[in-house]
Amino acid sequence: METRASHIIVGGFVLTFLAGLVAFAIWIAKVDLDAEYVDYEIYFEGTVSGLYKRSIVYYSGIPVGDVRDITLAPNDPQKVLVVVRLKSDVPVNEGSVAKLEFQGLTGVAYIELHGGPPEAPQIVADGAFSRPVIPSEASAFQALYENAPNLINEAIAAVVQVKKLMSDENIASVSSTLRNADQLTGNIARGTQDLDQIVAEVRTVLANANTAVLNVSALAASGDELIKEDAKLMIAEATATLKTANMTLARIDALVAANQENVTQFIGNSLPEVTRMIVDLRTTAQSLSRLMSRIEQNPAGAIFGKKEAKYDLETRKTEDGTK
Amino acid sequence: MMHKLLKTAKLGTALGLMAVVGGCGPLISFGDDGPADEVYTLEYPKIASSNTNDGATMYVSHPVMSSGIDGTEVVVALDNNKRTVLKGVSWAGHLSDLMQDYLVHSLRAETVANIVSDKGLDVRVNCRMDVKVWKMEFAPSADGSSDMVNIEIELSLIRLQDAYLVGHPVYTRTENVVGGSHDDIVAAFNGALNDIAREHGAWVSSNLQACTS
Repeated sequence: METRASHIIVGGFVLTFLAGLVAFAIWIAKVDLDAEYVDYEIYFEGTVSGLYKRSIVYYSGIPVGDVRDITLAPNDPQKVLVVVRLKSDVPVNEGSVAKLEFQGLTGVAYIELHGGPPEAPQIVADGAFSRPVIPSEASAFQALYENAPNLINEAIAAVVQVKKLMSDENIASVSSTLRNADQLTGNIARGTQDLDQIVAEVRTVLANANTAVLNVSALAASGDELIKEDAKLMIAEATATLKTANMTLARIDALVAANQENVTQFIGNSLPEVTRMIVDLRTTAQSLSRLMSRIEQNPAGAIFGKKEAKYDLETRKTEDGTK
Repeated sequence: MMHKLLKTAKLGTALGLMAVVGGCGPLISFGDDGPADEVYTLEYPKIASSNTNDGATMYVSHPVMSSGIDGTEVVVALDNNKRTVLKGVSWAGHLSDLMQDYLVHSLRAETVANIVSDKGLDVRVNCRMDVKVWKMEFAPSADGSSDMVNIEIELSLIRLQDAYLVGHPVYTRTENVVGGSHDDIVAAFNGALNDIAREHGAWVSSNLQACTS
């Protein structure tokens, strides 16, 4: 005899187990059954390499959705249409911008959303598109990827120019320039040493000048004291001297007045006479000089005359037989 | 004894002096026994006029003679720039003195200027004339057919008021010697000097006004 109660218990246990298994799976998958999503369209200029379906969409760094589809734009093959699904509570309002970013250097891309001003209205679909469209802009990495070939070409050109710049002649020139600069700096350093010496000498001179100024000051003080003490005596002596000089001049004036005629005669007659006498004395001095020279050279000849063969007019010859 | 020694010393001194004087005898020439020189002078032929007070007063300086020509002997110019003197002829005094006297006489005769010389040092004068005698020589020829005398004199007229040089002309004369005697030579000297005197007299007369201006 089979028992009926055991089948019910087993059946109930199995059903309970299956229900718990489904609940566990849902819990494990974290499926938010109550969540609502909104699809948006994003059009990117150029490539979206590294971006795949299921790639995460972040809003200010918070994951808010994922990529649902990636296709070329229907009317413009240079653009890429990316369909993203975001939670309905994400504030995608006017002014929001989508950028294509990359995670490190792995090449895995994701979409980063930046919201607009808080008061801006929510983006809605208009007549041309079936879903709301989030504007996009090129990120720094995207610009880098797009410009990388040009950058490489520029880098290659730069390397070529650097290679030309670093030619053997230029290196030799730079070496020469460096040697000259080293010599120049050496000279400047030595000049600086001389400058130090000059500065030291200038300091010495200034110190001497300071001492001299002090001495002059002391001398001035002494002079001032001397003037104060001896001024009266000096003035008295000077006055007496001037009086004496005045008297002497008066006597000379009287003497000249008394002998004016003689003085005039002396100036008018004797001075030219003196001039002529000086001329004659000069001539006499020259003659005496010649005589002394002759005496020095030949004393006997100077006194008794030199031997000279006289010219005889009768024989038409000199005494020694020559003409 | 003492008196005898003193007398001996005096005698020794006298003998020493005689020996010294006798030793100097060969050094001193007292002339020779040859014929005497013919002595000549230079004389301006015209009679000098008396000085007046009309013209300027001029002082004639003692001439400065070129080397070798001053003295009492007549200089002879031989070939190859040789110089000697003429045998048997001499001037009456130093040639510079004769030249000064000659110039003074000639200027007094040829100009109206009051001419003073060495004796007039105390006279106020307007001008001074300096004289330089470059040549005063006899140049004989080999056979006597073309003997000549050469004279070159430079005069400098200076206004004493401002020491201004009025002028300094140079006179050069060459006079042929006619005949072969000493008289003929001196006559040639006088003739050449006579020509120069007339010429420089005319020049001084024309420039005399500059002495007083």
